[in-house]
Amino acid sequence: MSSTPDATRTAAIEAGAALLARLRTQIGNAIVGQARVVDEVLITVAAGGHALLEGVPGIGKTLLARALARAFRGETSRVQFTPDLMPADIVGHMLYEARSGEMKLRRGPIFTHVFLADEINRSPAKTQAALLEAMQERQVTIEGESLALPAPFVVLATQNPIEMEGTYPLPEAQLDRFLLKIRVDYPSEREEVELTRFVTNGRVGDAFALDDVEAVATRADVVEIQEATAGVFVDESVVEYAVRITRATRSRSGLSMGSGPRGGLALVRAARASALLDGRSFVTPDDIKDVAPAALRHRVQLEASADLEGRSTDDVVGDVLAEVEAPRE
Amino acid sequence: MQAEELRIAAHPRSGWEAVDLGFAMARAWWRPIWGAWFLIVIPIAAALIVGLRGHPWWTLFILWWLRPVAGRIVLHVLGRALFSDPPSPVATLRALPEIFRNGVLASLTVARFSPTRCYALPILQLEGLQGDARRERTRILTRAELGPAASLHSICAHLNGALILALLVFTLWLAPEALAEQVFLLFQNWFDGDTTAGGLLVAFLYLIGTSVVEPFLIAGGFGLYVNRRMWLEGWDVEIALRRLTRRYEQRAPSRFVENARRDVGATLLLLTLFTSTPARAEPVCVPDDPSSAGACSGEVLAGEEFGRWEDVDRWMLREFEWDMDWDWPEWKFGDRFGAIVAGIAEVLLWVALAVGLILLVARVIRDPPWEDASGDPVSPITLFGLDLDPKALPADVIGAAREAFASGDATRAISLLYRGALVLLIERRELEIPASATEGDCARIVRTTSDMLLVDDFGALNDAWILSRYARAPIGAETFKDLCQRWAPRLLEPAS
Repeated sequence: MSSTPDATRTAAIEAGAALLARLRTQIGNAIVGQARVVDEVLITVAAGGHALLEGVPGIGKTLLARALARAFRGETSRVQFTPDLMPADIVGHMLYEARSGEMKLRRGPIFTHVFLADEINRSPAKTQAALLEAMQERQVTIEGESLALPAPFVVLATQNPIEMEGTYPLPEAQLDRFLLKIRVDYPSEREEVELTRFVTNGRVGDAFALDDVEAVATRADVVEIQEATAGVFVDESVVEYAVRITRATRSRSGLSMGSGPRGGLALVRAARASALLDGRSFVTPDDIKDVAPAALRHRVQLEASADLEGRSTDDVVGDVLAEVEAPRE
Repeated sequence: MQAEELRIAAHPRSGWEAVDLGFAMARAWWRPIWGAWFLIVIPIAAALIVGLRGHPWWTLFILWWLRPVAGRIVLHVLGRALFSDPPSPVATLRALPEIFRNGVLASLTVARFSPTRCYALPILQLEGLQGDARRERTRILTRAELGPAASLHSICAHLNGALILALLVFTLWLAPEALAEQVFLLFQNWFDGDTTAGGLLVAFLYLIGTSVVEPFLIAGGFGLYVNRRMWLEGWDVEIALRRLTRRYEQRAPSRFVENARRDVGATLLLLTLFTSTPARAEPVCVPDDPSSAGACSGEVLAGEEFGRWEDVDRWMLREFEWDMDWDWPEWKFGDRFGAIVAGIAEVLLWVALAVGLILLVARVIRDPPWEDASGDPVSPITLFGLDLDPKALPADVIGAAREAFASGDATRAISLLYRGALVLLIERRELEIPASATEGDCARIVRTTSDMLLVDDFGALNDAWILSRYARAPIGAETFKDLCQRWAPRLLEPAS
């Protein structure tokens, strides 16, 4: 971490940055507006993480997952999480085949590259936990047999922030597995006009087409991007800055629970990817600051009093960033 | 009291569950409760209202004042119904001397304004304790659940008010159209104190409202009281143990049962010893005698293994006597009382003065008025590890930077330039750069100035600094020369 990046690594990083830029352009062809969301999803992919997308229905979360997969020729599967969804419906199960008289493995939809877990908080904790192993270990275990998931593998889970009736809030352990929690807001008026024109112009129905998304990378390219991200140089002082921010959330008034050490790890991982997306081979404190809200908002818990005052986790994380001193020698 | 005969499920509850239990009791035994109420309270109150018809406000005041007395009727029914069949209204009427035997005066004086009177009423009425024993019992029982009791009072008071208002409006609604105006005038005149008819009507409405709410208030307080005793005296445990004993007795009347009975008996006595405070003759411990288990357990409890002794040091008010030899001024009202009041006032004034002085000194120490009188935000002394104290900078920043670059220390050279630029921005341009500002934040702050040349030059320097600092990348000679040329005019300019 403290060694200067060498020429080989610099070349890999430049190639990774170029690939990321191409992916960004292609996804942008399908997703009107939401540039920040696209960037954060790409940061998640580059950092080898998973993202929790929070936003009201109908703002392109599924389309985003499909566009991402198409841009790198990956497979995608979408599972609508419901209260009666069972873990086996996600990971797969062993099935007795009468013809051969053998137990056959039927792989679940998790065996894909981009797994969209739609409305993940509609399923009980047991089903949510089925994703834990997949997200952390990138493998699933069926009947005692561990099966590796294809690479790259990214989980994009969505949850609706408004409808809380009949939902099962994600446990902290599960939330911690998500590298970023991405807020997907409504597009601006100009973007919405453009979106409406784009979707209704000469098309039947209101389904979004992915015709404009070209496959500009391969699955192997995405793995290379992830390796390049891991090689992005991070100065020791920047790492310390990330850790100081994480630790500051633990003693911050307005938060009943601060971020654990995974918060610091997520900050540095996401900052690396952010730097690569920006075409740089090194991380600056600004990268840390940029990704901090998305990397920390789901790892901290707001105090009831702060909640009643109308403050959000983003407000408090913003306060923390405004108080933690920038890196120093 | 036979815990086994309880008509309610015996288990410890939370405060609000206990209130709910009280309400459930009121609903379950509504016939005897409201029957007694209508038989005893309503006629007396009606007679009072009619008798005091010329004094509407006094009528309301007295009705309000006597509510705890009326509540005793409800409490009597509930107390009886808890362990046996509820008494009939006539039986309650006959029991009036018993109902008003204990603590009526306290109910109407010291306890009248208590926001938890419904909780303490069972102690006054049902336990029959007097003096210190009652105070001690009240202190023990009301050590918990005061919050729900006070909230219950508040809720019932509001409900009562709302109900009376609703009845007023309802009366207006129901009044025939031809009489509506007259009824309204009755109320209006009642407020003005002109007529007795309006007063009578309002007093009766108050009585109806109270008749609905007061039994629930008393029942809620009784629920809290019963629950508190259940916690303290372990009624549920007692009932379970008694059932256990009975079951063993029914199954096998053997020596084992005898032992079990003895053990259970001992346990019950142990519980009794823990939970009640009756004054009795000191029993003597006799081995294998269940009746003396209490004494035996007392001996056991007196051992070193039980009990917790600790020394506590704390400030306590010393008992002292007023020195009456002081030269007191001539008081118009009782020398001794006036002296005490004056002495207390003097002490309070001295305390207030001392506290004020302490607060003032603390404020001055924390925030000295002679420092930072302008109130301007203090600029950071260090930023990104750079010492931004102007005195720490060399007099010729550009010269020192060139010298460092020539000696091969490009990092120090660029650091000097960057420090010089930041000091210039903070000191001369008076830009506010917080300690948490990153390089990107600094660039954004500089962009708020209208000096586009400065924005451009700082951007170039910022990029070079970031490369040098975070990428450990070498700075080329051309780049450095360019930066020196950009910043030399500003950094060499003498401070105004």
